[in-house]
Amino acid sequence: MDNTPFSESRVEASDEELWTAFVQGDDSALDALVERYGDDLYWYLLLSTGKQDSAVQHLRHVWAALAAWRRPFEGFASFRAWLYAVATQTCVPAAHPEPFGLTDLIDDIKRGQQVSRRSKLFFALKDMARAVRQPFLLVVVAGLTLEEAAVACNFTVGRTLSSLQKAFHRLARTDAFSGARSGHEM
Amino acid sequence: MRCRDAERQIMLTLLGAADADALAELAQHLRGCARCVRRAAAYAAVRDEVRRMEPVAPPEEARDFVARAIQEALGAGPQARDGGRPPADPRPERSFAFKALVFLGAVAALVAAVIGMLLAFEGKGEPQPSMGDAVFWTGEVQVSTPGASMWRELGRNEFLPPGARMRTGPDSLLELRCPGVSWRLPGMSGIALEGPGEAELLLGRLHARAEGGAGGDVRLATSAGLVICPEGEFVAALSMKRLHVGCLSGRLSVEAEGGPVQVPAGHAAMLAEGKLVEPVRRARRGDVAHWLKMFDAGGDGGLSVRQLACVRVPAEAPILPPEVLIEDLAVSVRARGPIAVVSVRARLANTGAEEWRGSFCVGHALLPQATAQTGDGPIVVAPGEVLSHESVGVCLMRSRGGFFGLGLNPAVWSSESIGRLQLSVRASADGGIDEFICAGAHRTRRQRVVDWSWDARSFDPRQPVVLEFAFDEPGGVDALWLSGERGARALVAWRPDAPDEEWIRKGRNVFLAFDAAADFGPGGRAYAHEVLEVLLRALPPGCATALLAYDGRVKSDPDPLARHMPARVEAMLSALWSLQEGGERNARDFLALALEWASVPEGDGLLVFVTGRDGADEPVPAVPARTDGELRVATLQVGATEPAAAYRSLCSGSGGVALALSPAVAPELATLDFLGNLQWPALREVGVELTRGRCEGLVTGAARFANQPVLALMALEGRRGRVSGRWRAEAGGERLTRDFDLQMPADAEVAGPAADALIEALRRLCRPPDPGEG
Repeated sequence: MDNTPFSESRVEASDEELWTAFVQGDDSALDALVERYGDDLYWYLLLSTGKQDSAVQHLRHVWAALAAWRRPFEGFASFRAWLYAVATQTCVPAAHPEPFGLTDLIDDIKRGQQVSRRSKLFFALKDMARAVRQPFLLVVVAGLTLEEAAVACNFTVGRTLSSLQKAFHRLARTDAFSGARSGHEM
Repeated sequence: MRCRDAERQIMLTLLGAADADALAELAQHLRGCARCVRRAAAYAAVRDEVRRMEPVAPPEEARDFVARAIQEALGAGPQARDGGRPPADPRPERSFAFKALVFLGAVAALVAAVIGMLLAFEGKGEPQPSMGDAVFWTGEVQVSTPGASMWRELGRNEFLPPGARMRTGPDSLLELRCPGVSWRLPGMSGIALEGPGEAELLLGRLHARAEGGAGGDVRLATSAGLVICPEGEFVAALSMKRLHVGCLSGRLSVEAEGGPVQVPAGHAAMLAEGKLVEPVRRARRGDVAHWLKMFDAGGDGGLSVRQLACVRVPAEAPILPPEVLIEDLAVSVRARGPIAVVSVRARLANTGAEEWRGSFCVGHALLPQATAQTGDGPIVVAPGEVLSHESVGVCLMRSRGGFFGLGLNPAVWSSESIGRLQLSVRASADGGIDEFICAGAHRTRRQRVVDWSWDARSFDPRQPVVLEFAFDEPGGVDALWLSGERGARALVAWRPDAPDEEWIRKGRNVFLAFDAAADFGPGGRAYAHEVLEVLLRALPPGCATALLAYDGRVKSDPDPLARHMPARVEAMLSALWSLQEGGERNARDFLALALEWASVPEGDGLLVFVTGRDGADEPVPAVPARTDGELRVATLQVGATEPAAAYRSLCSGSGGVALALSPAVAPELATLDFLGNLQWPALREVGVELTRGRCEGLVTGAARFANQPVLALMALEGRRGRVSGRWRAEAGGERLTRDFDLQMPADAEVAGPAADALIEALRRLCRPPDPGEG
């Protein structure tokens, strides 16, 4: 893989231009896309799986799947939508039931007043059913449009809307937003 | 517009997907519907909070994983790729007919399952037994029972059927007592109770104590292998599909490929996919001490109270035999700022036939560590004798941001019986703690106590009670007054509001220099290895590390400044354990070599020089000047009672820290102290200019104490007095000063012979004052 710094034009190139370049044989274009989306995609997968090692495995799987495909993506409005669709459908399919899993250790979780709130939010997201969580993460965290999220989840737009509504409703009722203190009183 | 439609519209608006007409209609609705206004605010908070969550960056090794996976995929060739299906399918979900078919199938399966369960219940005729009790927990602990899909908070008297799963959140602790075994889980761990004495470690770590006897073997299943323990204590950690098992006492075996493998007490084993990764080897303490999650120095570097509560009593703690009863035990604390005076009153009765000789140590190796102590001589209780014992000590509390932690460890006093324990913590209106009384768990009141590790429902004498409390004034000067027979003294502490700085982070180079030929004192050599191991495991993967060792011959790292990662930790530990003993001591030359070695690369670096208690008599070399980065030096003197002046000078001059480590302190705590201290920017030239009073000594905390920036002892003449002056320090190039004028209160906080003894102890502690001070 080319490890040289990316040129200015590469940095400015759109996702689609980079993918086209990769399809035409420029391997370094894929590196640029990995560089561009690596952290965001990992965060999405971490919130989806709640496990650090799973997120890394999925991250690896997604990019390997893209590298192996090396053709134009069809049926998706943008590379970004396609990328998250691959991540969702191959790694955390929204239409599948949730397997048992635990939130893994997050090494750099910050402590202090924010920790409790953040961990509660993390648990709350993790505890939602996939069908509810994935559209929410795709729209709110990954920044996809409603339609793109629906395609990524293999849902209809109506079902995606309904999932989003449930997610907002449930999260608004969790401790993370009601401000209740956890733990045991003296 | 109805509320139901408005809810959907609110959501679309927040996501930027609403059209103008709908927005106008929504606005109209919100003008007349308070409920929807609240809902809009709540949904906006949800959206903002989720988007505000600070993203976690992938671990460093993820980049390599991805790069390798891409290379493999690209190398697979077009034939392998062409036949594949697209990685994502844009088509929406399945048809209604398919779903209906699945639904009918599910209904049939459900009916069959219900019939099966009914038949099973008819056969047994009795309810499922509980698999155990959750006897102690702190923080966020959740439970999920079979048949329930949701996790919920663990409740009191929770019924735990077979298959019940529990998980702990950050900074949590859970203890489960089950027939024949007790399980303890630190934060971010999970367990499923499968049956009597049987559990599955789902994630994280646990500590187990198998009682043995008629209860049968304790069986712990994991995704990496099975652990069977007939009797004893062990710890298990599951990470990255590897199981790390350490046997503390008793015996255990692991089911590996080819049959069971015995792991004797004091040994450790590692399994992956049911196979032994390496032969069973003698355990280092790092293998079995899983209780502290080491935070990277990018955090605040301190332990939270709940983590502190996970600290077990060290094995060498004075445990009373059953014949020696504690008839009465009272622990009280007077606190002011980061300083506290801890008094202990105990009445012991020896009903046995043998004389008992032991000692009580205020705070022992846990928090707070006593800096000066009286009554620490041996206590001798003759058979049939009733003895009253009093001791008092000055402790420094750990700071964590703006908070201070105070730990009281009743476990030091006895094994099971703690007598009539009374804990009492008080401070006047100026202090951090207003009142905390624990007398049989009846009367408590808290005002400035912001966190605690104690649970009134299930007090465990083996765990320390840790309080955390706050102060109003950052950077303030605190004084604790001692009034003795020979005059009054003020113990004054200053906590400069100095900026925090991350010392170990991505891009930094950490050089480890291990002087293996040094004199570490009794048990110190193994302890030095443990400290190094904990330190290596605590360093973040973003930094680069290099190892230089000396055991009579200098041995350097074949792969210097490689990225820090688990494989590298193992390689470095192997190199450390291969060092010889008994080499010729040559600490000074080795330090000079290490300084030269660490000065070569560009960028900021930290040299950690691990040595023993000797070798600091001669002048130490200076840190080489550099223009392309800063090299900070930290020395860890294992076995020394206090850091040598030469090392202290070297370290403070470079902005590092010099610590003396005692093998009595858990290596995890020692390492945490070290990392925590590194967070403070160099408090150079700390001093005090007094306008009233006389300074008897000045101790800079970063050189000696956990997270305490500065402590000074000042003496006043006369029984009543006043001390005033100005603190001064330089931190990270910034000049810090603080004026103070402290008046001794009418009733001295600590008076009488205990105060005199304390004053003497503190005088011994303090180094002679610099000529310019006071």
